[in-house]
Amino acid sequence: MLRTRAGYAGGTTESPTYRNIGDHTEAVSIDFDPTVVRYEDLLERFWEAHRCGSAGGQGQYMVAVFYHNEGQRKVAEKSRAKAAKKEGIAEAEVATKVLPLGSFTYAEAYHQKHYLTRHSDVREFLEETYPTAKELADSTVATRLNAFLGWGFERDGAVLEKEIGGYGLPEGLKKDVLARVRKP
Amino acid sequence: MIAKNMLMGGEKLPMEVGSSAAMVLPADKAAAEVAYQTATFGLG
Repeated sequence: MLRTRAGYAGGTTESPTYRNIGDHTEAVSIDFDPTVVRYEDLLERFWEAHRCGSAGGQGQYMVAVFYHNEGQRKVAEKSRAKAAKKEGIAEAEVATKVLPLGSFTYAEAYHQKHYLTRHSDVREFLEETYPTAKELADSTVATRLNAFLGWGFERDGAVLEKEIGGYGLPEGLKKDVLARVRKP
Repeated sequence: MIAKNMLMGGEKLPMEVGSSAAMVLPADKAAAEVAYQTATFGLG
């Protein structure tokens, strides 16, 4: 993943916020390199992560695929049919929505990079480097540190060790992060 | 620290390649040059 962002999508309300989300729902936006991972792969993970016959949700907490273009729509609808078959239900019974994106609005800074709130030294360094919430949300380094520190070393430790040298972290902070994620 | 970064009124997601706002750290600069696609999900 290159970048991930929390935000609001799927509605028409202008400038939604957490306290005034209007007709939008909470959403995550993922920038990915299609030469490394395919949109189909992300959809497969998405369908695997919930019961599509009953987990549709609504309003602020909708479960949905928001497609960005016609190509994504076709792939998403195909994946919905596959998920329905796997679930043993008719496609019409799938509660999960497949909808046009419309627009995506960044959520407030305190909703971005959630796991870094538990690592204030890392977050402070990133906020000093990126003073605006939009910069912080767009940072690949912040995205990846959030994932590694959130999920733990055992999942992708070798990857972190290989790439952390290129993040541009101060040496002391880099050592601290590695020590933290190595801790059982 | 977090409060100062409040987004006032929200900002729309850029849809163009190379439109990342994070351009200080070397890994971010390199990532901003990678052609990408965007997927968006509501997770409930």
